[in-house]
Amino acid sequence: MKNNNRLSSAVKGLDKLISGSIPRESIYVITGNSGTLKSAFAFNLISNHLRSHPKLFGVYISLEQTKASLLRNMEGLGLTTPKNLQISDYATLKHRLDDGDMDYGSMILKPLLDNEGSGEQNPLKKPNYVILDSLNAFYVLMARTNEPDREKLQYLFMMLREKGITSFFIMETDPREEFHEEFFLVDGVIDMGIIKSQGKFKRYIQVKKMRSAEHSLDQYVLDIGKGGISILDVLLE
Amino acid sequence: MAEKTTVEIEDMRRLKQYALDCGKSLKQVINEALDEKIQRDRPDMEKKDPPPKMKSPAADGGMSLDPIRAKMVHWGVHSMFVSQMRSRGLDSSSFSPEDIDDKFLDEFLENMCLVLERETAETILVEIKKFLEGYE
Repeated sequence: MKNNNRLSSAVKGLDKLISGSIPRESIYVITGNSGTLKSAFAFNLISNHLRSHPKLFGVYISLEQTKASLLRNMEGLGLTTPKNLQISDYATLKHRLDDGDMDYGSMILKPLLDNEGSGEQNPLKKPNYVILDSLNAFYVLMARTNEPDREKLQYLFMMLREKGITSFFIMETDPREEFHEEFFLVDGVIDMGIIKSQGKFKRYIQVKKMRSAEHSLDQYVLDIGKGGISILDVLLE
Repeated sequence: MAEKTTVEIEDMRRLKQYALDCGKSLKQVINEALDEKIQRDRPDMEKKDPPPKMKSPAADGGMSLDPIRAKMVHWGVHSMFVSQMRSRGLDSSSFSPEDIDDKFLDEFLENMCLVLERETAETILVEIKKFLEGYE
């Protein structure tokens, strides 16, 4: 019987890759080249999970794509936004107000990390899930006021874990580069890509790392239809 | 004789958090704030960099943003507020209530709603309005 409580049940077929579930209060990176459905996968995973858990709250932080554009793309893939998923549209804010001195670090991180208390004293709502799209854009914005380094990133990840937030960082990567520094700091690495298999180009997903969970290292074929993303079978050579 | 200043426990907690976020020591943050205040309180002629294009100069009794600024820093919207003020040619360190009109506040609410839940943004706006009303 399917356990609806499991985060991995939110994407059709994801249970095949991960036995048990995706551990909570952990940090994950979703890597891949452009067009590999990284954003759609993260959106599909969290939106479906939140829809079946209305008391939970999630934030999708979009740094490059406007909310309108993101939602249009997601709707095109058959994905809708539940009420308990906040889309934070920094792309539009940047367009409206950016004067080169905006402190994106505090704007993005304060609502995530400094939300103790409630009401007038602190109206910020603590999220259970966060998607940051993308880590590459975050680095660029942070570099304007603060040079990001491994120590700061490690501190941020530690704070997110301490706050009990399950976080997904989308990271555009070059498929020729096998390792990135971030991989050592996070709890899980989910890689997505496009590969030629049996004469056809196919999208795939691979769990490269997931602490505290048994998982397959195989690449699985990914399909996208009206109901969102489905993970099919192991990719054959 | 130097004037003594009292700091509330809650303000001190915010200051510590702000210092931590900036990667500075508490002493450094307090010194910078004092320098800023001294600079602001000096007669206009002595100021190194007078604020450009101010609609309502601080000289006519412009208000200090410090109490509400601490709250906005805490909520992560301070930088957004300052940028919006700059986009209107205002100086964020001192201003008159008429600079922050309903149009400015509506615009600020819409900007906050881009990145925060509407309910959260509205609560923050109520706090800012309360602060502004205290100066009218």
